[in-house]
Amino acid sequence: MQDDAPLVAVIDDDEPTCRAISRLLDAVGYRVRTYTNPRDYLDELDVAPPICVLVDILMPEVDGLALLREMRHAGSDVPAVFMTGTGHVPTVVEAMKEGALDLLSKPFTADSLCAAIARATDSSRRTHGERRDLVDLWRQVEKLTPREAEVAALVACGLLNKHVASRIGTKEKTVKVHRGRVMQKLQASSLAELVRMVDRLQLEQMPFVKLDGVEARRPRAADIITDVLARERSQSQKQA
Amino acid sequence: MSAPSSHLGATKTENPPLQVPWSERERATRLALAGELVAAVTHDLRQPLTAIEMNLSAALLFLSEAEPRTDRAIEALEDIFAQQRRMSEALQALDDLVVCREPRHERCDLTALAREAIALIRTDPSLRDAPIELTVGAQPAPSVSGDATLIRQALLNVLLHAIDASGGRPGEPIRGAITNFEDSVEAVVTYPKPVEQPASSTGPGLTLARAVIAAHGATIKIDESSESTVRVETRWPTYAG
Repeated sequence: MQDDAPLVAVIDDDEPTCRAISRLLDAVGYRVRTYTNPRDYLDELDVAPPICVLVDILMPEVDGLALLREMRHAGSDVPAVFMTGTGHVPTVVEAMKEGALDLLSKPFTADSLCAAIARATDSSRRTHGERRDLVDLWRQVEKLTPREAEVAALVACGLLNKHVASRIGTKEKTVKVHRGRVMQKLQASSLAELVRMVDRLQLEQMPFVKLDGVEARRPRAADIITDVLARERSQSQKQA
Repeated sequence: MSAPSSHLGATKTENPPLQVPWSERERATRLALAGELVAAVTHDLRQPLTAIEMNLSAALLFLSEAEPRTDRAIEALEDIFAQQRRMSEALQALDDLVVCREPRHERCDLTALAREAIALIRTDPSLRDAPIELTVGAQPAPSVSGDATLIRQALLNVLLHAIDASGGRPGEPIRGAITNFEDSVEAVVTYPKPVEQPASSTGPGLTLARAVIAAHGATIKIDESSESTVRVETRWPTYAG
């Protein structure tokens, strides 16, 4: 087993089932951690988060649905695949509403388990990639001064330098300097790229994200950019 | 040692003679009610079936690797044997009930079985918050004689009946108590009497429990004389070795 193989957490109060699933996932190349008590998993949430969790719905003390709610509350968005030994429709519906990526009805086949884990792994990688891009963007935006953030937002709105200057009460020459620094600090090669970056900041306004167990906070400059964009949009609507 | 209850004057009492064999008349009832047990047994089969499928697939993969991991494959195959035994036990319990056969008489811990029955109820999200309180006597209860799977099922059915029957009085607890007597162990479930409809002492779950209790030479009494509660008393013979 390679140390960098994807890690899957298996949570089922039935120890033999946990062990058997763990064995199969090991055979197909995953690293596995098993938990017969969901509380133990919650206690380890920040320690090397898995790429996905496989959770039994019916468990004493904390059931799979409650576990998923607690995970989400703690900021974990690890994809979850549920297992169930019952066809209890309301439970199944609730599981899907809670955001289960897949639901496996026991007894399930090894193929269906592997397919569900592969889907969850893909989803997790996609989310992880998007999150890494966002954190990279935040790191660049963090370098902007408040005035540069303002200029970035106004330029991304399509305003000419002279209009930006009048908005922020400075000279066009100063705006040019700010604009140059913005493009340099954000490593934006064109106006189109700057617009895409600003749009992303506006689309994803969560205050923090967790990446590889480490919390990254949205920088103040990002809030300034979205505030300026909102103000500009409001003014445009009034003028229209 | 607690004294037996003496306030059961107005009770509905069923005291079948001890060790009554399963008769054909009872068999018809059992067959009609077996569906309920089948549901429970089906749940017990799903887990080992899943484990067997996973272990078999894993064993095949371990053996088909360029350098076969035979030790891991052997572990998987050994686990399959264990899961096969687990399935056999679940099926045996069903077989014992449906076929005309005396249940097994083994040493069983009634307190542990009561706790397991409560734990099983807690695995159902819709019953997770059912207010059940279990009190166990100061002395550890001696073992009783019988088939653990069937006794647990009977206790489970009594508790489910109590939850169902007391549905009109939410928030009031269902109390379970295990008490020692000289030659028996008493398991009592007391639940709030429904406000609008009289407490029902029938129902498939409770009838199935009665059949299991009778087959073990145990007794069940349902006391509805109190204005506020219903008391279901089961008494199981102590294990004599």
